[in-house]
Amino acid sequence: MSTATTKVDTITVTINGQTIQVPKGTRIIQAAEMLGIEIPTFCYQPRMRPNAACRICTVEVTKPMNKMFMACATEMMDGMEVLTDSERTLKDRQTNLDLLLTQHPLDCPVCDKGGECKLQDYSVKYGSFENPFETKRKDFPEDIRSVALDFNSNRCILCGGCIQVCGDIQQVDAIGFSKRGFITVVGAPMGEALDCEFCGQCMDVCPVGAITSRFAKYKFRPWQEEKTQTTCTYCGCGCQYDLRTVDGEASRVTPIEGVGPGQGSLCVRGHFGYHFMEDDRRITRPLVRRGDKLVETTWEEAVSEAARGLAGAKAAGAGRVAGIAGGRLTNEEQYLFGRLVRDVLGSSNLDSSLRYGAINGVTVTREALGVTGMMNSFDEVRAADAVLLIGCDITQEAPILGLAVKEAIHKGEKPVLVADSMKTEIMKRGAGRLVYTPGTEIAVIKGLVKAVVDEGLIDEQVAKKYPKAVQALRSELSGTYKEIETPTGLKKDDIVALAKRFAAASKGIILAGPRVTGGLKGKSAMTMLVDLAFLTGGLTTPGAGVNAITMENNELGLALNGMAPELVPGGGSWDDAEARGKVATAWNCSLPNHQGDTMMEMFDAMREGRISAAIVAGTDPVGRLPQDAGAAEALGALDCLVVSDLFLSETAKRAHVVFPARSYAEKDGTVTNMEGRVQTITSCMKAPGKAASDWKIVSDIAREMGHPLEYANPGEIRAEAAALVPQFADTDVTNAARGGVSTEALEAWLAGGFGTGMGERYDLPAKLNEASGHEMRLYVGELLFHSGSMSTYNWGLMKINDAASLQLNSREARKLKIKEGDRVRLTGDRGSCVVTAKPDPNIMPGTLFFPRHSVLDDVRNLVQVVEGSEEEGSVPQFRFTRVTMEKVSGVAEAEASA
Amino acid sequence: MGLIRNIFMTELLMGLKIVFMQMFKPTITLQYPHVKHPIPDGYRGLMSLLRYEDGTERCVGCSLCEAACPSNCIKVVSDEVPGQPLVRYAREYYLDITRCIFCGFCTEACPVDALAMTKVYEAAVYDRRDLMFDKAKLYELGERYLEDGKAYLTHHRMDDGTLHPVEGLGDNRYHFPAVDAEHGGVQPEQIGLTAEALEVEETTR
Repeated sequence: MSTATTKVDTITVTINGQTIQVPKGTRIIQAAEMLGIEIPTFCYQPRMRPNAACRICTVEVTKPMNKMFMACATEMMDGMEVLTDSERTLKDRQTNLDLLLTQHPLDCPVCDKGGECKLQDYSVKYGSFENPFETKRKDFPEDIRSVALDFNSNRCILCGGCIQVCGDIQQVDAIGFSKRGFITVVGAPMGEALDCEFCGQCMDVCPVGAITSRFAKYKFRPWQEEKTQTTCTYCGCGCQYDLRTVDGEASRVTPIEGVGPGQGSLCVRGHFGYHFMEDDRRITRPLVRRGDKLVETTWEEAVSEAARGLAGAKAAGAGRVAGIAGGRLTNEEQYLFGRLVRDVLGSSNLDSSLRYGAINGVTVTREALGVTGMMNSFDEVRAADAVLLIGCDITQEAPILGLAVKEAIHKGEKPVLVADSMKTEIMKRGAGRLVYTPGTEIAVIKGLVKAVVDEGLIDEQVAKKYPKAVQALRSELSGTYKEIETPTGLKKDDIVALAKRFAAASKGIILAGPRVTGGLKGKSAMTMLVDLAFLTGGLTTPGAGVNAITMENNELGLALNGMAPELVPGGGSWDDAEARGKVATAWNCSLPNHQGDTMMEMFDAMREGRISAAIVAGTDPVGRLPQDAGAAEALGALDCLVVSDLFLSETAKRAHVVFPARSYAEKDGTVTNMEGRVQTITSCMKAPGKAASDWKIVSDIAREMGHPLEYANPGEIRAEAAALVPQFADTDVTNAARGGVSTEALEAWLAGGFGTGMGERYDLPAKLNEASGHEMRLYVGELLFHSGSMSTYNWGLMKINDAASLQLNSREARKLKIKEGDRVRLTGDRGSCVVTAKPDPNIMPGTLFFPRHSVLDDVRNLVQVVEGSEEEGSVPQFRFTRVTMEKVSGVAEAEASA
Repeated sequence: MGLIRNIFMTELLMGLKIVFMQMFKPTITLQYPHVKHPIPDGYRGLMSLLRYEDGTERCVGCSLCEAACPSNCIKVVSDEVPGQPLVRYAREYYLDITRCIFCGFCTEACPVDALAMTKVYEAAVYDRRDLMFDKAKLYELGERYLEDGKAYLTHHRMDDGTLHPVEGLGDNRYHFPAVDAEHGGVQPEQIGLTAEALEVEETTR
């Protein structure tokens, strides 16, 4: 029997006389590709089901029947014989091209696709130059109403690839065919202007120049461009793409099919966010403070001033220097920055943008499971049976991981279960939905764990293998649902139903967003999710697991490089004397004895004068945190603040020395994405002025301080770092491929960290959704179009979306007579401000949403920061606050307040 | 014999015979630069850019000349015409005459007959930088030597004689689909679909 089944699985086929064994179900075009035989196609996309619209791939099948077949759509049979270059095939191909060219205009010289157009290439290769058919060309006006994409219907060959990618991969169905027959056109429904996510994937799949980029219009020719494969640095997904440059200027971004986490998909930020490198606001020369002003100076003077300031603080006492790094730095730069602070400056006060929330996700998975970063790879998410998203607006925060989730749902009709504080885009596809009060993630998670325990949804093998741990959880969760229902506004039955659906899946993946890790008691919440995964078998089943997504590009690099006081390079704990000793040996130095301050503690120490100098690279704490965090006063009180950044950020404005840094397009190195892949970024543009890589800046300061850290290139740094961080040795390997969770790690955790502190873990914070004088709950979060301040320097992205408007429930808005564009006043405990309102049906009543990318807006400063305790990873909660909203009546008042 | 030839220097006399014969023929030396040779049409002299009769630039910035140039002396920077979306033109155009080998491939590649070669061969300058022609200089040459350019294009039959008559400059201007900011997309009237036909289509739906 077994031989029979294997026979069925592979078939033998012959193409152009070459015989090959292929798996059953292989289509002619795929088999030809394996043999290296090219079959022309316009509409076939390897990632999508065959469309069979363009008909250019017809090939002659001689056995078992003599017929012409679509190579893209025909699954091969055993013993099939195909001819792709027979006379009949070539004749059909030529006729097809002739028919296409009866309509397609010959405006190649002014078409942006000219030079990489499939129709052009095939016409030269297979076409005739004497078209026997009567030409009948269209003359539709070109649709340029959409901000990013132009539609030229005259060039369209109606292959439908764009519609398919929009529907199948992006799954937004923003475009479709309208009209019939000769006047069929592609565009937004009802002939309206396209207003979608602007992922630009339709443009990528278009074989002709029917869909082109507004931002790159007429600015390039494919043969003038230089292609550089690099990594997108907007979010933690780390997609691979070709950054194309013409004479050193970025012309556009094109995806690479089948490569990297995105497998050839890009989002709007990746596709159109390539303008910030050439922005005029870039800092090009080092600046030093002279009185109230920052003045341009020479590199040498800036280095010596920075070194003098830092050395002075170092000499005044141990731990008087602090360092804060960001996820914008490459792995190499982060490593060297950490070495500068810990080795050269001899201070343990090293923190990073991990503190904005990601640290909780990273430390929990590392302590419990021994994995730094995501447990599952994007491919495992694509193959998941169920995905549970908590506090995670995945299509906005990590769009390409969002596509993986969408693929998981679409392919196997599998459920996606979403718990969030507003109706997110992915929630609309959700099989199970929980919409809770903002800021109460921890209660929702507790409810889910409780439901799993109470309803007997525990994985049988887990219950059998680890009865003690299960019993411990059972006794911990013996309370009622009341404490969960009251703050979250959810009903017990809904929570139980969601838990049941998740537990029913064999390969269930949990994805926790920044609202879990950065919310109140974020570390406990994340640990509870690990408990949830443990109970449902997620830690013992391959392909299942629990993951926290990271927001900044190289946040995982920060964790691996130990860029937090509780971590050491290699991702180990600071308390671990062995790990610390390894670092001290590698650096040939003695590390400071005590654990350093976290970011919020640093700010206190700066205000009190215990820290007098700091170096900040690749992050902007003043612009990121609300005023209430006190970053501005703290950094302003320093004797010496050294900042390296691309733009004069809020932090840089308060600095004594500012170094111009390089963008990802101007430096070499590696970055780590959220699934643990170390991927390279390659320089392809000229840095403006004196801008230098951060590792160069660190190296120069170290040399000036008499403690040289000399390297010729980032590769040398990586080689050194790889001794401490083994992950840096290989590129493009995910955590899942590295081995994922080991049984030993899980058992060690169950014996240790699991039991201790379980009581505190499941204690809900008292402040959860407490009554206050302000009835609205304001959430400051991410948008798809802007992931932080960097994206706002892209004129392209700003054209697509520059609105920083307050989103509120549309029904509530109607009740309050607030229309789109009206000005409303928000008043909180930390002041008040006036913003533009935008009613949105997806926001829940009593809830407000404001995008965080507008760094200059006052809304961020309304937020009251809740400092996290040390057990909770010292993560400040700065995403939620409570405000009162009132409509500003009258234009005069609105203007006066503005 | 040899001795006699040596004594009478016959070789010398044979040579001088040609000299004396030429002395009595009319002279053909041109008093260059006061007098110049007539240059045939199609001569490959300095490059020039041409305009249409209404003054618009012919060049659409397609960069095909740049691609065809064997000595890489052309650089085109294309863009949209400011204020006229979708109309393509060369924002900048550079031609390095010091590297140009006057092969004329660029004029053959040009789809809009914007490039033509003049009959100017006196390219000597005091400063080599003056031989880096930019767009303004090329259009100026085109204006000054328009007749040369026309003659060049006609002589080389840049168009195959079917699209438009060879005599004079052909009008193969590119047609840019009009921009309709109001409606965009489909304009059925534009392809001869009448309003009645549309009505029928709508009622049947």
